[in-house]
Amino acid sequence: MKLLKEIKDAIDYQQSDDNFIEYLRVLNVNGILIFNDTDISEVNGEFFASENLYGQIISVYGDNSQEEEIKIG
Amino acid sequence: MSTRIPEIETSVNLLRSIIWQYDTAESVKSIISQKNEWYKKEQTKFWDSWFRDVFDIRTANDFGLEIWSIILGVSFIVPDCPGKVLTTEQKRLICRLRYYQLITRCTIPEVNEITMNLFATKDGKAYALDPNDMSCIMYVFTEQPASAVALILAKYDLLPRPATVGLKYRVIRYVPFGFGQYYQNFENAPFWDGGALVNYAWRINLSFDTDNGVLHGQVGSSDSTIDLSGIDVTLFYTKSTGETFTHDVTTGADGLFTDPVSNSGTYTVIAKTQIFTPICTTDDVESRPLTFTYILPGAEVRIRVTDPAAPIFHIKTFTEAGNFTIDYGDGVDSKDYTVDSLGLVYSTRALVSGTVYSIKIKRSESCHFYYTNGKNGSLFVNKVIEIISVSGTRTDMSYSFTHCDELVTIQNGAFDYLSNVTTFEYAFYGCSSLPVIPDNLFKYCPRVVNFGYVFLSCSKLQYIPAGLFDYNPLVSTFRFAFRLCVLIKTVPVGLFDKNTLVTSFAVAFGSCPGLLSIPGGLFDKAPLATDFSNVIQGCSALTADINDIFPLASYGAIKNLWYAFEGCQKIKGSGLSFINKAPNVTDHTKTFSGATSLSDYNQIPTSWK
Repeated sequence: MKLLKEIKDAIDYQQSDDNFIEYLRVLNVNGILIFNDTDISEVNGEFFASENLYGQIISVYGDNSQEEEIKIG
Repeated sequence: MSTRIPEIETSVNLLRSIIWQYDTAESVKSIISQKNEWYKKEQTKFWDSWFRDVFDIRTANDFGLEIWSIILGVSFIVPDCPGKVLTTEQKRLICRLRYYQLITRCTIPEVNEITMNLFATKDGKAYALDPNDMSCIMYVFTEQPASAVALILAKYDLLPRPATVGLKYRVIRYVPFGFGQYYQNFENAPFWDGGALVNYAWRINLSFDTDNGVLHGQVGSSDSTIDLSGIDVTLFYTKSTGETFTHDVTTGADGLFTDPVSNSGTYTVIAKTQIFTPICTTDDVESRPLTFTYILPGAEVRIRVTDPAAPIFHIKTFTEAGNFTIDYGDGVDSKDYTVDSLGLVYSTRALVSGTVYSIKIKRSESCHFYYTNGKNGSLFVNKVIEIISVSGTRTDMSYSFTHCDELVTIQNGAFDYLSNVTTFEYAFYGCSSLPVIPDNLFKYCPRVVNFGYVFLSCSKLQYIPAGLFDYNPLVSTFRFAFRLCVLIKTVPVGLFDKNTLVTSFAVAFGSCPGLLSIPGGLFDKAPLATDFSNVIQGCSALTADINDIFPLASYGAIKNLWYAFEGCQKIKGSGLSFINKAPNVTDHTKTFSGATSLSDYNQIPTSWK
């Protein structure tokens, strides 16, 4: 299980959890991700994605976790 | 008419001539006996052979048939068919037909006996009909005569017919379809092919083997006895781009041919040929068009080799090692390479330093032209200077050409067969010699979600083509997409109009000091866009009105404006108006810092600048 917030940070998704879930569903409809309702769960108001879904999302966005976050100021 | 030819007695019995006085003359008897054996062997064999090879037309060989042709007054040079060499069987048929023609009285019973004798097979029979008006005699075949026979019938007038009476053929290949007594088609003629003597049906079947990229074809005939090898076939290809070209192939056994397709694309191919028929006519044959899409996993680039011993590209998937091939520009799909434990690919060819090679990699879904040890930029000293194409089913194009700092050309349609790609992150990061992005570069990549950093630091990039992202509706981030593209002067109108799911434009045009204008409402079709941090930070030449860039009444989704317009010293309009339109911003650190041309710069709260 992976916190949705962490996934959003990893892929630079800047919207709310609800919008993110809706976006994931759009990707699901378009065949880019394959998951069902059980892959997203809510615990104490926090949303989690299954490891399977997390793996798919990271794969789709490219696993570039080695890149350091850049904040220009 | 008898079909029997009297037996010819060729045996010799010399022993009969020995009278009784010599019964005990063993030596004489032995001599005579041996002589008899010699005669038996030599004379009998000779006459048997002569009978078989010359006298009997049914078994005569070419020599005997030449004699018969002189006797019967026929020629083996086929009329109107120069160069045609008849088989022995055909010559026999000609001689036999001519023989029957000379001896027959042409009564229908007699002719029918001849036709059954000559043409009937186990599958079909042949017979003659008399219309009773002296107009013609009609020969009917209940199956298609073989090509060898049809040639004789078509080119020689040898079938028996009475003087002044004409000749017709009718071949019943199938029962005509129709209704009633005469198989009529609604009071018209039945559905029928006319029953002509020869009615060859040709076909060319095409299919495409997508696994191996090979077009397969076969020329076929309704007559299985025809040799279909050695036929020249021209393949007319039309690519979906409009490009046309032809390939010539020659059929092998059973009329089969193949043609390898070397480039990805959607093709429509038609095969055409001219077939010289066994009856000395030429038939134009054309296949039905076959449309297929071939996606060759791999890439085609031009690389300037500086160090032949250095790697030429990298593979992310090690299991591809040994399976992919490299064509170094000579048309040979070779395995002249080695792959080290890092996935770096080295040529084993004797490449020449300073030479530009066209390299086509086939059967690799992970080849790319960037590798870093984590500290430095690209390790590659052999530089990609042109991208011709990348194609396949890969989903990941991230870092594909990162730091290809001598890349100057991306061919039109280079990514037209990359339909599964979801990320181009960092794809052209640091391509500091690239002046132009081709139109519609991403048109056939509809699944892209990530264009982050895609053209970061393309410092020679002069303009962004209109509609570049029009076919990528699923993108969620353009983070750093054009940062440090210092020569870009304008952004095309509606560049992001089709990208309605974007949430981040952070640093999208940050540090683009050459940028003079941004079209109005550039970001308006992305209602979920939240992060505009550094979006045009450092665009010191930009003179646009901030409220033209953001013309809507409200931008409630915006939350992050960190340094968004910092350093935009020529940006105009009312900063306060914009602030009022973005009520939900949570981070406005130095948003307007240095944007001194704003009409109300001094009134902007210090927390925003």
